[in-house]
Amino acid sequence: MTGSQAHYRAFELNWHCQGLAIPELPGCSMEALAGADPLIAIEPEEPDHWPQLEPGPHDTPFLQMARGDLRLTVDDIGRFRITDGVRIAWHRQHSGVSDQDISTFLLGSAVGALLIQRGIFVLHGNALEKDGKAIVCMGHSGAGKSTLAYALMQQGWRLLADDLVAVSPDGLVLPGIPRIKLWHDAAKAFGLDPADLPPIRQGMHKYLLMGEALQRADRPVPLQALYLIHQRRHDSAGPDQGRITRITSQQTAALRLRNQAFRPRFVRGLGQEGPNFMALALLQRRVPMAILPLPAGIAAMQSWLKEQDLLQAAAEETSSAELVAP
Amino acid sequence: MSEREPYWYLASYPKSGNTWCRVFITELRRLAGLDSADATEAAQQEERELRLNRDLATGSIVSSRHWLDDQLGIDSSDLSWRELDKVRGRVGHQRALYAECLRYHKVHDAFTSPDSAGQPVVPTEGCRGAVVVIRHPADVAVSLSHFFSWDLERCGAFLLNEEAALCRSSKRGGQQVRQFMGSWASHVQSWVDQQQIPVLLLRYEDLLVQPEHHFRRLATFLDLPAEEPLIREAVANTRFDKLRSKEEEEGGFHERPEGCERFFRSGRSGEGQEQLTGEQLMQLEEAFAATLHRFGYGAAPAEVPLLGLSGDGTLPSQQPRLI
Repeated sequence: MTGSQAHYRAFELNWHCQGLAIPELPGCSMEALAGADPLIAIEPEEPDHWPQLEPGPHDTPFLQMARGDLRLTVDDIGRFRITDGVRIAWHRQHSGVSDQDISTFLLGSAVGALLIQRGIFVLHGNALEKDGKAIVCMGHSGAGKSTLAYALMQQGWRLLADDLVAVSPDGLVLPGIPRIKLWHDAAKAFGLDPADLPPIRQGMHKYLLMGEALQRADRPVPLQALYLIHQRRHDSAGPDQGRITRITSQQTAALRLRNQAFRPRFVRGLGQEGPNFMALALLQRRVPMAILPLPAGIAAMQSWLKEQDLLQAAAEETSSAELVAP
Repeated sequence: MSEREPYWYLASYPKSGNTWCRVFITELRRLAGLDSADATEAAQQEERELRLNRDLATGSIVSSRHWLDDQLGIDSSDLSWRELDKVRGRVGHQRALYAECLRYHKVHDAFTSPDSAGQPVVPTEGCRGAVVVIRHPADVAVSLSHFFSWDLERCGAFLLNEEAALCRSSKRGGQQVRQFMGSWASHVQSWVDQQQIPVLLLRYEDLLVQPEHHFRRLATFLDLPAEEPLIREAVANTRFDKLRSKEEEEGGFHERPEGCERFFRSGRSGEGQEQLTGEQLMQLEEAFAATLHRFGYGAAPAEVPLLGLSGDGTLPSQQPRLI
């Protein structure tokens, strides 16, 4: 179990992984490994060795948190301990749990917790790159982030990060996990055959697109625009329904951005609200944010996206109602 | 220690009056001057009049992915429906961060699911009770038909289906997780017969006929102000015709699904008797005979006194919380 070792690179960090293959992550070059970027350890470990944590105000039955230490239990699958922004310890609950099961939750929650521990501002969304500039598309679970990301990749955008979007203090989006997860129905609507795609976990109808299946950007890129996905209804009407609308109120933008942070509960439980707030304020001053009113249906979305200039649209003040607001 | 607050469920089969109750609660709280600290920002700015699409802040639906993700600390869509139903009842009730007033949670799930191993799919720890709203299944069929744009035949089959669920596809994403319901009768029984949390049973038909009396029982059960003038005003402000015109004024209610012309449509009882065929009615009445009888539904659904319940309509097993 602990025999295999591998090095990966993501978020401008090097990851040394033991006992677990993570095919979603790009390999780390010798050059990067020899550089100055920190090396993060991902290792199997018996949770019996983990010291007891005092109950924290933001704990849930599945999460225990203290400054520099987060424990996550995924029932019947695995347990994770993330410490000091440098180490992820993982434990398989039983032998029926596959590497893929572990890496699915490790890449989502454990890596996110580690980035938060490092004081990095993490948004929940997808980041895409074009012409050396990045946009970030955000929305809650089920809002259609991955579908949008894949549609944009069909139109020449390259994937910078999926799910966890790390933004550096100087406004660069760091290349993250270069994969997206598409549901069966979305994959089919894009003309992909789900039978050819690896499922995110055995028996699930949600699939991984990674490696050769997508174009990725592997360098940090300046963030140009933030978009909040708003799913339009089939029966919506009115001339403004399809218009990208900039959020001009500073207060609204800050609130929206706070709500789109990756797992605000982790941020609080880990005592990282201070640095997080500073990063948020800085970002919100620098980068325009807008509502992206996505048409319902993949074909309609694709043709609508062709007419948009997403690198510029967020900065345009399109709404007269917003303009007269104080 | 975790931050804990009292909370209740508003449990019902879909199209049985759940939203009406939530609108009433929102309005009652607004009239009573509650909520100033924990209502939505929009509600605070807009104190003059109830606005359907801005103020309905009674709490998130229990099947919300956003809420589950926060509590579980993972992306709930990385779990199968079976895995999720096993953990949903244990998510606890920690205050969701940055959320609105979270006290009265709408829920359409049955109390347990075939995947929950006999355990509730909703958290019960610290829960003060469940308001269970029921409505004659023939009327539910008509309302479902408008809501989902299904024909009555399909709605009847849905009500009878012991495996019925909302959002059941495992092939696409969405903002809510699967909600197992079973048939109409199984759903009602799952809530009414569970022994873990107190129940206040309300019949939609009774809310129509004696709104002030029954909404007052609702307010009392939820520890809300229940003075008569206050209840009278809240009832008057949330009458069906008022809600319907508000829906028109506001250009549609956002909980209305695609293709559904209006959410607050008729509100009447007895439409099932008028619109279902004799055969469709007989199917429902035969299959649900025992449950219909138990809850006082005869041939004409409205205006039948509730049988099997104590004088104030509380269930015999319920803790005596009502005045």
